[in-house]
Amino acid sequence: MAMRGRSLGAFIGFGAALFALRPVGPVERVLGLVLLPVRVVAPLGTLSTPFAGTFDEPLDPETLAQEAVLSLQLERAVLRSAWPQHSTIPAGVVAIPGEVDARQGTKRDHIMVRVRDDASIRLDHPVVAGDVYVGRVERIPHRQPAPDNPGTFTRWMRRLKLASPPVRPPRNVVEVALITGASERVGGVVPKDQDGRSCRLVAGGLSPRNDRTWLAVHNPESRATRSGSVVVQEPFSRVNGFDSLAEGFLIGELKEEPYQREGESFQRPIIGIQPPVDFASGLNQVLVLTDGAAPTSGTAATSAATRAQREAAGATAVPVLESARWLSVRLFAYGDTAPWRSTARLHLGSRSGVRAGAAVVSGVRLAGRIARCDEAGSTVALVDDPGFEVDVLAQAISDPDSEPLVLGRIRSVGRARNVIRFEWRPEGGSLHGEWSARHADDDGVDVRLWTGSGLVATPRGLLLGTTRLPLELPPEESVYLDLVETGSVGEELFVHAGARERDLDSRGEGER
Amino acid sequence: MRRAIGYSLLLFWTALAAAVHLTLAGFSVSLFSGIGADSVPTLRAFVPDLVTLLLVATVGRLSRRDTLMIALVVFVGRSAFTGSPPFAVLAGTILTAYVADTLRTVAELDRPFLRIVSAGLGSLLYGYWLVFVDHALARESQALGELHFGSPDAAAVGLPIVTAVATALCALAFWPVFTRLPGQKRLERRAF
Repeated sequence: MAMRGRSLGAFIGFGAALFALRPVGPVERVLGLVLLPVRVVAPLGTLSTPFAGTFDEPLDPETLAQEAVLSLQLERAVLRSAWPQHSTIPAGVVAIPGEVDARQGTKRDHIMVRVRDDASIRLDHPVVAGDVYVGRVERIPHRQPAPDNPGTFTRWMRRLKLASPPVRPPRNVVEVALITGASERVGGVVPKDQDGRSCRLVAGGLSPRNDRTWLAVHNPESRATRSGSVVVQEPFSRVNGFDSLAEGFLIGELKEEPYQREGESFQRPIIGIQPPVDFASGLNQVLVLTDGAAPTSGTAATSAATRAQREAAGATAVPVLESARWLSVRLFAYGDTAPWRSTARLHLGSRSGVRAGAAVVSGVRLAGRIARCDEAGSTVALVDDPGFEVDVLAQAISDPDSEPLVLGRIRSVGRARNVIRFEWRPEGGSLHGEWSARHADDDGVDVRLWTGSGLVATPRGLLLGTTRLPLELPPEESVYLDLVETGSVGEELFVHAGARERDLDSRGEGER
Repeated sequence: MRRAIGYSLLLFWTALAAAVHLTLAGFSVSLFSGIGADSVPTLRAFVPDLVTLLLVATVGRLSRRDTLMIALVVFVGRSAFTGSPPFAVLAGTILTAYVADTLRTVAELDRPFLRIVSAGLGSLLYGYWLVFVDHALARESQALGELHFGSPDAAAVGLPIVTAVATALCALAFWPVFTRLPGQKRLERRAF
C-alpha cells in the first residue's frame, strides 16, 4: 500500500516538476481553481502585515499631491519629446502621436503603438521619435485580425472555460517594424563626412557587432566615408513607399571601429550607425508621419510650425491615476517563505480585472507589479524583489519640466540598508552625457526615476524613487543606482485593473 | 470524518506556520535593519522554515501510507504564502516529504540527530529546488521576452544553507511542539 502511495507520489512529483519548469497556462489555471476554496487560510497572513513598509517613511497628503503634479509634468515633457527639435515636418504631412505599448512575445524588432485615431494611418508610413527615424508601420492589427480555427481540444478547453478565444485586436493600435529588423531598409545620406563630402547609403538591420546595437550600412556610395551624421533621404519615394515623408530625420552617427568577430583571430574595421535611441526599451512616445492632408497655404514647412506643435503637445497630458481603472486593494500577507523573494499577497484577483504585470501603487509611487494572480487573489512582486525589471525615465529634480533622459531597463538586485539597489546597463546610444552636462550640479545629477512606456498594465509616469546619476559612466559596465523614496506597501494601495470603462470603446483594453 | 477534520487542522497549522514564518521574517528585518544590516534576504534566511519542519515532523509521526496526503495538504497551505510557482511548490513539498519518509526507514525521526538531518536536508532541498526553478524560468523568459518576476542572484545561492541550518536547530529544540499539535492524533492509524 505504502509502495503504491510512493509511486503515485513520485508520479505527481515528477509531473509537478515538469509543469514548474515548462508552465502550461490552462493546467496552471486548473490548479488555481482547485486551490481556490482553501484560500480561506490566506487571511492568517495578516499577522505579517504590520511589518509592511518597515523601511519607508510614511507618506503625507502634501507629498502625494506634489508627486502627482511632478508625474503630470513628466507626462507633458514626454509628449513634447516625440516632436522633432531640429528637424522639420514637411508641409502636408500630418504627424499622429502615439504611445509605445507592450511588445508582443519575441518580436523584438517590433513595437506596438497606441494612437488616438488610426483612420489616416496606412502601411509603411514612417515612424519617428523626436528627431530620430525609428521604423515604419507594418501592420494595423484590427484591420487584419488573425483567423480563429480552433481544433477539437481547444474547443473543449474553451467550453470548460480553461482557454479563451483570441482577444479581438484593439482599435487604434499599430505595429511598427523597427529599423533594427533584419529585412528593414531605409535610404540615408551623410551630408558631410570627415572630409566634408556627402555619401548616400542604405541603412537597416543590425551590424555584425555583438557588443553594441549598431545599424548595418549597405551599399555606401563611397568606402572612404567613415563618420558623420546619417539622415533619411529617399529620392525614389514612388519605389520606397512613404519613407520620403521622414526626409531629413536622423538615423544615427556613422562610425568605424576595429572589431574581432567570434571565431576570428584578427580584428577588422566594422562600419555601422550608432542610433541615438535605445530601441530595446527606450522608446516611449513616437509620431506616425502620414500623408493624410494636402498642403494648404497655411501649413508651410517651417521649423516654427513644428516647434509650435511640439509646445502644444503637452497640453493633452492626462494624469496617470486618471488614465486607467485603479482599484483599492488590501494586503493579505507581507513577505515570502523563499528568503530571496520580496512579495506580498493581495485580496483582489483576476475576477476583479487584475492581471499579471499590473502596477500596484501608493499614490503615484510604484510599490510593485502583479507576478501571478488567480480568481480570488494575487501575488505582487515588490520593487525590491531581485530581478524586478522596469523601463525608466529620469527626470532632473532641479528642472522637472525639461525633457527626461531615457535610461532604458533597470533591474532590482534587492534591498541594502534603507535603499533599493538597481542595476543599469547603459546602451551605446544613450544621451546620458549631454543630458547630464545640462543638469549636473557637482559630480552628478539628482533625479527622480519614473516608469516608461511599453510595460504590460503598468502605465508611464509612476515614480520608482529618487537617486543620483553619476556624470561619468564606466564603459561596457553596469552602473548601480541606490534608490530612496520608493513605493511602500505600508500605505493605502491601488492596483491597475485595465482601461476605464468609458475608454474601452474608443481606446481599447490596456490603455496606459 | 475524523481524518477529514485531522487534515483540515493540518492545513490550518501549515498556514499558521507559514504566517508565523513571514511574521518572524518581517520582525527580524525590522529589528536588525536599524543597526545597518546590509542584506535583507540574509536576515530573512535566518528564520527557520517552519512549514518544512511541520511537514517532516508530521511525516515522521504518522503512517507511511499517509505521506502523499500530508504532502498535498502542506502544499495547499504553503502555496497561499509564496510567490513561487504553485507546481514548483508542489514538487518541492513532495520531494521533502519523501526524503523524510525514506529517512524514517532507517530509524525513528524523533532521535535528535535524525531530527536535525531530516529537517535540515528537507529545507535545503526545498530551497535549492525553488532557486533552480526561479533561475530556469528567469533565463527562459529572458530569451522569450516574457514577463517574469523573481530571479535569484549569486548571493541567493547561499541562502538555503542558512535556512537549513536554522531549521535544523529549530527542529532540535521544538520538534515535540510540531509532533503534538492538536488534530494529529486523528490522523494516526492503528497498527492492527
